[in-house]
Amino acid sequence: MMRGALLAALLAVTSLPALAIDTAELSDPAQQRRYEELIHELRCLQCQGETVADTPAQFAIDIRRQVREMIQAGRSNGDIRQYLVDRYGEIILLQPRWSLANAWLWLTPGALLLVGAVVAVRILRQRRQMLATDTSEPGEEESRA
Amino acid sequence: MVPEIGQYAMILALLLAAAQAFFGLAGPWRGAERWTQAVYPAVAGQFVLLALAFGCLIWSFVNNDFSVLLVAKNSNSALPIYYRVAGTWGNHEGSLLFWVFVLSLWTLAVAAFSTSLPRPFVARVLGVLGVISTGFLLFSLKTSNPFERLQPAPPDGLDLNPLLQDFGLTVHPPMLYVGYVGFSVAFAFACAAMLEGKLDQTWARWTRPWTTVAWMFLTVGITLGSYWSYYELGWGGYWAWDPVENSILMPWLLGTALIHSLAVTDKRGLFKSWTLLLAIMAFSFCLLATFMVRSGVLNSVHSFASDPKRGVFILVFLVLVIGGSLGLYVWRAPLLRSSAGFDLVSRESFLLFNNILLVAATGVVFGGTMAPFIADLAGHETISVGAPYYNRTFLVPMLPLFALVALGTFARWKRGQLGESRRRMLGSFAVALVLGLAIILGIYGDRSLLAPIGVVLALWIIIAALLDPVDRLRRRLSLPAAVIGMTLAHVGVAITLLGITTMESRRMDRDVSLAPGQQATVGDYTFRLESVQDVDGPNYSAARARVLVSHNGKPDVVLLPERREYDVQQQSLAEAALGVSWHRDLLVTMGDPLGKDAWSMRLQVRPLMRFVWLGAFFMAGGGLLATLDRRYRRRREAGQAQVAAAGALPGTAP
Amino acid sequence: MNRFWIPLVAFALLCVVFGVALKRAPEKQFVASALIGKPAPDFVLPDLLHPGGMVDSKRFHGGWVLVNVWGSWCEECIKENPMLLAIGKSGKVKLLGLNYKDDDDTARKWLTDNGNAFDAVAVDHDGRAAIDYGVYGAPESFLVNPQGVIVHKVVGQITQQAWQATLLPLIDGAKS
Repeated sequence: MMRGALLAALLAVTSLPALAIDTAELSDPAQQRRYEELIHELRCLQCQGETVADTPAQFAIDIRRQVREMIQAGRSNGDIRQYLVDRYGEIILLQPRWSLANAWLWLTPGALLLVGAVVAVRILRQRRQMLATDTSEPGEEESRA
Repeated sequence: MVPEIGQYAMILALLLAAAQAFFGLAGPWRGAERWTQAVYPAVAGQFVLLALAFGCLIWSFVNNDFSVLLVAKNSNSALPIYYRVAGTWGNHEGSLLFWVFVLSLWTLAVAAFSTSLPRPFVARVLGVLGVISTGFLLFSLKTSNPFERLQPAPPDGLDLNPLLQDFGLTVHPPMLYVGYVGFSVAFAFACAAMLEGKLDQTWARWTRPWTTVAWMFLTVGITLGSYWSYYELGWGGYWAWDPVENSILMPWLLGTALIHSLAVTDKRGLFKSWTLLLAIMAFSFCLLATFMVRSGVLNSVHSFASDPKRGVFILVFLVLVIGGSLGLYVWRAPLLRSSAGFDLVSRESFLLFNNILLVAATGVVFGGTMAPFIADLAGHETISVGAPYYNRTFLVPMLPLFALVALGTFARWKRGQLGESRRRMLGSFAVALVLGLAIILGIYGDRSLLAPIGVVLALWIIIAALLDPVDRLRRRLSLPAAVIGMTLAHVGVAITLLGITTMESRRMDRDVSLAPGQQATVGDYTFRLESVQDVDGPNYSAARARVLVSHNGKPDVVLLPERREYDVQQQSLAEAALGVSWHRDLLVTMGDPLGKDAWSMRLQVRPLMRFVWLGAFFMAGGGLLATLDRRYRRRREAGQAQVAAAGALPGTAP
Repeated sequence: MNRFWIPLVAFALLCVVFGVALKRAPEKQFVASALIGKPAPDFVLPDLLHPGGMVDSKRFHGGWVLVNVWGSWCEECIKENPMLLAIGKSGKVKLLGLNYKDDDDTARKWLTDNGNAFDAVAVDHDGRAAIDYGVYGAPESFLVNPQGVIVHKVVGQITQQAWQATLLPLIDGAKS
């Protein structure tokens, strides 16, 4: 039932004349680049999992404007993120920040590759040894695939 | 009347599925041949009944039978007929029935095409498929009955979600389902082997074509989904790393690993227990996807609204099926040993790396998808894991993998013997490097790191992949379908890689305000709004803009984006207009009217966008070709095996 | 215990995670407010009901306030309004409306047609004040205690259940 409420709320909000695309661009290219980077890191909470950059939802428009204004006001990227996290929680960042709790997420790729490398080395060594006693033949030339 | 028939058909199908499971598993176990034989009529019957049930559902939709709750919630008399048909699978209950129907189709195919395999083994395979079917039918009938009634029947329905009213709905879910239900076959083959207690190279040979076909459909399904979201949502997004999207990517990655691992097991009898595990994992992740989409744990644009009761049912089913198969694995896998060896540089070692990297990639996606749940469990604040995270971390295992695709084609089975291959390998890399840098500096001219790496890798893969087939043709050697398939698939990988890296580093977007007569430039392109008109569709009214796009001053294409208001659900949707060509996509989306005839619009130029999906279709095509080869060889060898084997098994005519 | 057990054990752990996630799914539907326990942001915004005047949120300090974010375009807000009217009549809280992303005339008409539950309505055309409150849609409501601290947030309409079981106890509980 609650889910129905949320769904209805979402529909209610998105049926606003809310498909407005904001048409302001920052004049300074460095600032524009920062802006584009940031809006691709922020989550649109009215949508599900989309970035604030890629959706016409009203919430996204407001957040984009907020980011734009804060960049123009000279705030740093970290400041802007913190500002939004203070109000919306960590959930608004699509990229978890470095913290003790989140470290494992960022270490996952490296860790997996490390484990993979260890496994690979073990298997390679083992099979290389077996090569000496292995008399089987892989088959004719044509069975490459 | 018709919904009742459908309902009874489902109930009967459930009984037959249970029978299929029982006879298929108990028959071979007890050596009772009559039981084993009984599987086949159960399979056929189940298929007919489920076809009937699904047909009844379609009939109810097409004929606007609003006394069926599902039809009332998802359809409308003004809905065009093809959407009424496609709408049957655009919701939880209907798509679940569709799932089971597709499973019965696969089961029928396995039964039909396995006549040269030993009966008891096939019976076990069908038995396992029967267990899965039973589970899903139970789930459907108990918690998600598509034929539930609504009394009194409303005069009309709530209409299909406008986002779904698109050609994509007609093709994306069916392809996807055929694909990921298809992995149940590899799973069933694995379970049958474990139950039987033996697994040899022939097992791998039998399993390969089924797995490749399933993988092919999954590839097509995912690609269609990506393409659909690209033009439907109008913002150019083709992969959002949404948890539901991820849940379908993971089986695909594992399926790719499985195809390659099966090749090694087939050729050299190696990696047996690993291949077994992969087959279990690939399907397990498919079931996991089902869980994620339908249980209510996830909030996603893709997930169906559902209640946790369904989630509990699926979870129990997961525990039984996956837990059961992994238990079998603990029991049987240690017995599988092979004494084959291979060199440090050999096709086997490269395929080993391939598997490791693909599993690592799956792990990265899995970790990211599960992270919010785990953070929750640990009592931390809810976090989000989205595109920025995945775009960075996914590359870590994938880039080496792409290099491997190029390198791997040079390696021979068992012994490295690079020898003259080394020259070709280095030569092809040099060519790719030079050509790639020429393109980057000459055409692209940008300074990002992504594009050069992507372009050089892609070129290297293509050159390396083509060397062998070209060589064979030159030397007038035979070119089996399997080799063409492999080449095509790998070239497809390169094309997709090229498309993604090029597009992401060279795309241009602009948000502008335009009134008729005004124009804006994006890169070399000029977008001029000529007019905006009111048009009417079958169940919507719209404002349609006419945009003339010119390239370097010369008129290129006219685009007609729309802003639609759907009558029944009162939703407003922007229909993007696409200007497509092999070297770039142009995207125009209408936003809001800004007053004084002006409209806000998003203009996008995306170089090489088509390559992203073209490559994926090449991959699927390669898979298809490879399957065609396999099957031919299999029948021939099977025929030879019949001749060789003195006492032919009953019922297996050559 | 050999390495073949690893997949089964890993799967078992996974099921535990899913089981817990399932149990907690109903509550996890909405983004938990990051502002619970923090001071409610203050604002001075145009007064919808008295054009030309301003509404200062500080005026509401010292008593319980329910800040309700709504708009005339919001379907669920119409459904929520009777509940708000009832809450207003109970006298337990003051109702401070935040008219979000709306048109003044349409909003006033909405209040006339549906009944005005609010003690005051501030106009937030561009949504800046809403961002301060971590609002991402409507309706949303914030329960603020007499010390000016946000003690609860409701996303979506306030149901009878939510009022009786959650909000009321918070108000009464603190009083005693």
